[in-house]
Amino acid sequence: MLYQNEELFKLMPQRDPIVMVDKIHDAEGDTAHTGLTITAANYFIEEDGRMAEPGLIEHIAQSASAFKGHQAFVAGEPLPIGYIGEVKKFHCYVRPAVGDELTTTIVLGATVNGVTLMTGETYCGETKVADTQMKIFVE
Amino acid sequence: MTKEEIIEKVNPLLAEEFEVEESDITPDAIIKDALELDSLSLVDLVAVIEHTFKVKIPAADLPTVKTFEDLYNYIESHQA
Amino acid sequence: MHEERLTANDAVYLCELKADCDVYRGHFPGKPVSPGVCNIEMIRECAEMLTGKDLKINTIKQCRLTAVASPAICPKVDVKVSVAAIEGTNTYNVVATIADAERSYMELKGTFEF
Repeated sequence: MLYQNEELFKLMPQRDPIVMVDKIHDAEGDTAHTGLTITAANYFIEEDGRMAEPGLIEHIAQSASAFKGHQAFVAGEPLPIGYIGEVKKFHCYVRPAVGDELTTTIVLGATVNGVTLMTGETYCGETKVADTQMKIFVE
Repeated sequence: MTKEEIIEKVNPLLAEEFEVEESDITPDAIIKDALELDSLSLVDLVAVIEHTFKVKIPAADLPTVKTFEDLYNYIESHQA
Repeated sequence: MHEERLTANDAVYLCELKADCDVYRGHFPGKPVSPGVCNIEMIRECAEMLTGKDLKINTIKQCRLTAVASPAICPKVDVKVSVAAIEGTNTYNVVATIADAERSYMELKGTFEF
C-alpha cells in the first residue's frame, strides 16, 4: 500500500464530501492500482444503497488524478490540477453497494498538448463494475 | 509492414474511431479536416497509431503530419 | 425547475446550480467548481423526468466537458435531453447538452436503461 485515506490529500485537491478514492495500492510506470471502500456516507449512494453511475466515473477520474499527483510528488514537481475533458466508451456493468471494496486499474496513455488519454477499469472482487476511457486536461 | 499494408490496416481503424466514411480518407486529404480533429481528439489519433503500430508520434512531430500520405510515411519510417 | 417539453422525446429543463450545495465544500475548498459528473447526474435525472422511468446509465459513448461550470459562472443552465427507445430492449439512446446563453458546458451521447 502506497497511500491510504488522508495520506492521499497531498496528491489531490478533492475533499470531503466528494473524496472518491481512498487507496493507492501500487504505482509503476504508466499503471496504478487504486481502491475505494464504499461507505453509507458516500456522496453518490442512492436510496437503494447502491452507487449512482457518475460516482464510478468520479472514482476513476480521482484515481487518475491521485496517480498523476503521486508521479509529480515523486519527481519533486508541483501538484498538477486535472480536469475531465471527455468521458468515452464508459460502461457500467453493475452498481456497487455500501460495504463493497472497489479496485481500479488506471493506465495512462498518450499525452498531446496537455491532454492525457487514460483508461480505467473497476472491479469489485472478481466482478467487473465499470470501465472507461477518459481525457484529462492537466494544468 | 509495407506502406500498402499500413494503409489497409489504418484506414478502417480511423474510419471506425472517428466515425467517418473510409472513402473520405484519401492520401491527399488533410487529416485534421477529414477526421474533424480538435484539441481533444488529436490524442485519440496518436493513441490509435501507438496502439496499432507501436509508433509514438511526439507532439513536436505532429505539425509535420498533415495529410494521410504524411501519416503513412511517418508510420512506415518509424515502425520497429 | 422549469420544463419546456418540445415533443414526447425532447425537452429542455432550466436547472439551477445551487451555490449552497454541500459538494462545493470539497470540490474544491475555496474554489467552487461543479464536478463534471454531477452534470452527468443532472442529465440522468432530466431524462428520468422526460421518460417517467427510473434510469440507469448503461454506457456513455462520448461525453465532452466543454467548459468549466460553477454557480458563479452559470447559476442557471438549460439541460436539453432527447431520448429514442431502442426497439426490443429496455434501453434509450440519449443525446443531451448543457448550455446557457454564453456557452456550452457538456455534450453527452449514451444509452440509459430502465
